Formats: sequence, C-alpha cells, structure tokens
Amino acid sequence: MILSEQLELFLPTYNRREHLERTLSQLTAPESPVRSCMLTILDNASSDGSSELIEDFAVRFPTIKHIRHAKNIGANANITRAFELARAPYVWVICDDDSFRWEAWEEIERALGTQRYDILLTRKNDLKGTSDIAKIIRQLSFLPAGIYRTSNISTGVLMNMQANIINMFPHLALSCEVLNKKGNIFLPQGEIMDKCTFDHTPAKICYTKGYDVVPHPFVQNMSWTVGFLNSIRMINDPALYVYILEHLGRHGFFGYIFSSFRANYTVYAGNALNKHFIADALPLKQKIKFYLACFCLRITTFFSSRKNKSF
Amino acid sequence: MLKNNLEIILITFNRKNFLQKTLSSLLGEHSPVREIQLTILDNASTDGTGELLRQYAARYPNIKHIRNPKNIGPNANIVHAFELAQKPYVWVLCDDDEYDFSAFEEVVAAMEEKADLIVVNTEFTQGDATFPALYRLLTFLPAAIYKTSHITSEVLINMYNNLPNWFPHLAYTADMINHNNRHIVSVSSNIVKRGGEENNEWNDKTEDLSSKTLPLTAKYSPFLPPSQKYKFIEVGYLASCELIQDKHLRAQAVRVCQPNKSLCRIFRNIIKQNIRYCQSFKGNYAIVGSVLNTKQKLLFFLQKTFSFYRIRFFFKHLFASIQKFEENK
Repeated sequence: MILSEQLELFLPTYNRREHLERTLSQLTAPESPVRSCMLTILDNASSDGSSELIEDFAVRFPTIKHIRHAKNIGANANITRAFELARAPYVWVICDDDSFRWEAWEEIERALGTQRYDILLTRKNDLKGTSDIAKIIRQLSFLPAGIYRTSNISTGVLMNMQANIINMFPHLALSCEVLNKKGNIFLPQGEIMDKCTFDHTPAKICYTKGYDVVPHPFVQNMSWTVGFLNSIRMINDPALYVYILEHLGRHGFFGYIFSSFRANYTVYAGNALNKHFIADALPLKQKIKFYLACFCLRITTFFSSRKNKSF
Repeated sequence: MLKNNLEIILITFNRKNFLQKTLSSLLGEHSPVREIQLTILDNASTDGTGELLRQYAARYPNIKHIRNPKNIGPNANIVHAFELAQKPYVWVLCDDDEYDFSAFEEVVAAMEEKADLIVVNTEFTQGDATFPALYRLLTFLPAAIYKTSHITSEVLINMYNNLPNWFPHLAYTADMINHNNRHIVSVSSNIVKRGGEENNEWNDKTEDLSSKTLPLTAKYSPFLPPSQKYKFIEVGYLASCELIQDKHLRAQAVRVCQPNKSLCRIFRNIIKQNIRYCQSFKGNYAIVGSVLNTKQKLLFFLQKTFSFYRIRFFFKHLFASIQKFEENK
C-alpha cells in the first residue's frame, strides 16, 4: 500500500504562526510517516505572517499546497471546507497547534491498508481501550482525533456539517453519520496526538478565535457543551442517543451537565433555545432530571452570573 | 467602466433548461451586462449542465465556470459566491429568473454614486427601499446588487452561521441595518423577476404547504436532526431576523414575515404548519419565541396555547397513546 494515495491531510489555520511552524516542521520531518501525503493548508486570511511561513514551506516541499481565503470565513467554516475539498480515500484534518508522536503510527497505517474502517481514531481511548461509544464520540469532538473515510462525505453530510457550523463541531456530522450507518471504527493501542487539553473558556471567546466580530445571536449564546449536545442530536437512534447522554461524564448525564454547564451557565441561560433542543430529545424521566438540573444550576449560578455578566 | 465595477456570479444545480434561458437573456444582444465577468458556480450537476457551460465558456471569454468537486448544497454555494466576489459590486443570481434591463441605467448611475446597496426588484417595496419591507424583499437573492467592500469577515461568518436558516445572504442586509447610515438606491422598475419553480413559494396556499415545509436539506440528507428537518421557510426567516440588533427594528421585520397579513394571521399560519407537518416541533416555537419582543411573545404564546389545531393535536396524541398502551396490555 502506498500511503500517499490513501491519505490526504488538511490543516485549517488562522494567525498562530508559532504553533503552525512547530506543527509543520513535525509533519515534514524525515521521521514523519505522513510526509509523502498531500497536505493542504487552508489559511483563513492570516495577518501575522503565517501566510509567508506557509509559502516558504510550500516551496520547500512539493506535497504542501497553500490555499489562502480572501477573507476570514470563521474557523468552523474553514473546517467544513476541508471536508468539501477532500478527494483521497481517507482524510485527516489536523489543527495548527497539534504535536505528534509517531511511534504508534504503524498500526494505523496497517488499518488504513485494510480499507475496512470508516473512522480511525488517532488517540487512545480514555477508558483503557474499552469500545464505549459515548467515549468515542466525545473523543471525536476533537478534530484531529479521527481519520475519516471520504466516501462517507455525501451531500447530505456536508449540509449537516454546514448546519452544524453554529454548534462549533461541524465534523461531528460525519461521525454521527458513521454511527447511524453502524460503520467500523478503529481503536488504536497507542497514542499519536500528544496530550491535548480541552479548553473550557466561554464560547464567545473561543469561537471567534481572537477575531473581533459580532457573532450571530445563536452563536453568542453557544457554549462548547451545548454545541456538543446539539451536535449529537444527529444520531438517528434514540436509544443510542440516550445511552450516549448517560455515559458522557463519569457520573452520568447529570455529572456531565453539572461539570460542564456550571462554567457556562451564564451564557447558556440566556438562550432558551438550546435548552429546548436538548430537552426535546430526552425521554420523560431524563427530561424531568434535566429541567431539575437546569433549575438547580440557575439557583447556584444566580449570584455569580450577576458578577460576571460579560466575559 | 461597468466592466470594472460589476461582476455577476450565478449559482446553479441540475436545471439545464432554466439555466440556458437565463444565460441567453444575460448574454443577449440588448443586454447591458453581456460583457461583464460572469462566474458560474456549478454544484456538481449531473444533468449535462457541465457540458453546456463548457460550450458557453468556449464561446464567451467573460464566462468562468467553477465546478465544485461535490454538491455542497445550495446555501453553501450562495455563500461561496459572496466569498469569491472581487470587483466593487457583485450581483448573485439564481438560474431560473426573468430579466428586463430597461431600467439598468439607474443601476449604473447608482454605482457612480457609490451606493451601498442597489435594489433591482420592487416587488413590495413600491420603490421606497426602506426597512422593514427591504429585509423581507432581500430574501429573494438576486433582488439586490451588493457592495463587495461591505462583505467583511464578520458578514461572511454570520452568513455561514445563518446557513441553516434558508437565507444566508440576509447577514449582509442585517449588517447594513445595524450600521444604519448606509446609502440605498432602488430602481424604478423590476430588472429581475421571480420565475421558474419558486414562483409561488411564499404564497399562502393552505392545500400545498408540504412542499415548502421541507427545507432544502431534506432532499439530500440521510438523516437530519429535527431542528433542521422541521425548519420551514417562515421559521428560517424569523431566525434570520435575529441578526438585527435593534429590538424595535427586529419586531418590524417580524411583522412583514408574510406581507399583507396581520401578526395574528402570521402566527396562526406558523402554528398550523408546525402542527400539520412538523409534529408540533417545540424547537420551532422556541426559535420563534426567541426572536419576538415581549408583546409579540405574549400574543404568540396565547395563540399557541389556545390554538384549535394544537388542542386537537394534543387529544389525538393522547388517544393514540392510550390505544397503544391498551394494546400492549
């Protein structure tokens, strides 16, 4: 199997020159197994010299292609663009601030060669290799954690991705589609992505990624948690959906909501819409639990919300 | 002069016959826009549109044909058009409309005046392009010529966020309304007229609502979350109204959702459609509720609660579930 015919890499980036330089030099280093693969860099009209850096790399390495958008189209639209452009049988979209360890790559390459899998995870599962579907989908919310099969990206999936731009996890449309189809998912033993930290800063800051815009009102009231919960609404099977909700956190759905919503409740409470979309899919028992949880959170965060209304 | 100022971007998917008609009227002998750069965004059509466009591109040097590798859906194609615009003014066209260029000189004059928005359809603004009728009018994509310098990143990002709401291009108009010192010019007679399939799109024909209830996405998608599946055109418009920051103006935009109809009537239609075709989807009530101001919200809430259809829907469901329960026993 020739890897470069199987796999294609995309890298959406915006104004993070230092991180990008590290990531790119890692990808193009002699020991990197993916250096022969096509790498397309989707530059969101960066203004800090990233573009020059990418041009520099593109001259040195013929596998690197530089696409610079005329205007900044937002981070999530840029991610969607990567999936639109993908052509090779498998696509791996990485972020500009990742670092890699290649020791465990071999098994992934072998799995790629079998062509059996719809998604190949690049990170070890949190729960010591158990194939818990809830943990997998939570893992997949991290963009580079999955290598996806391109043939699954149909028009419908692309449109779901676009609709999900607002929920900040456009790529989960593809993951949900694979789950709906009951596709094969490969779980590695090793870890390729170096340890990453999930950032709980409020969405308004994260979403715009340092770019000063007035976001769409739905986005203003969006937090990572809500976006994620809205995204997994794309799972077809209600039983599976409820199972995932129950097993998201260490202490069930309640635990997940409490641990993640507490920080974001000030954002979240402003938008009854998000509450509706989540509650609507729940069975009666969980719905009551959910509203109770919201009520409790509202009381506990009442005073703190007064203090920091704006971020 | 006009050549350097205006460009036309046309979006199309699998409508070869309509497209041929549109192109022949745009490139006809008397058309003032026949030498302007015309970019056609073909959404990976499969009915031979590609060959037709190749022929045209060979004959006319000003035609550029861009074919997306995959069908990315109509709304994303619209935003692509706005993204690609480079000349000072851009006119994004659909493939199925009719044109009458008799008033085109006014457009040229407006460009020289450096207008921020040139409205080329006067369907129900009757010449005075003022808010809120303007907002409702511009749901019709080719109804205006947009100024490229105002399509900033902010507007583009909002367009992308507004993709699932049917009318991504309203982000431009909303931005214009939010900065209310912009100069709008309206032509005296229609240059572009609605044609083709979507002629009666918004007409309130109670018999045939099902076709417009389904959003465009439903045609393609293997599975849609209910928030998408049940978002019909009025809900999409109301959700787009959220882009307007000023509360007072937003309330006005809501009022013209269905022109010449009272607010009560609009709400009743929305509730009726939602119950008939969307299983009384709560998300739609939530979307509509979040856009309205307090007074409108109260009205909507009252109508929703005491709607005949909703009560009937409730009892229907109740009886069905009782029946199901007894069968299981």
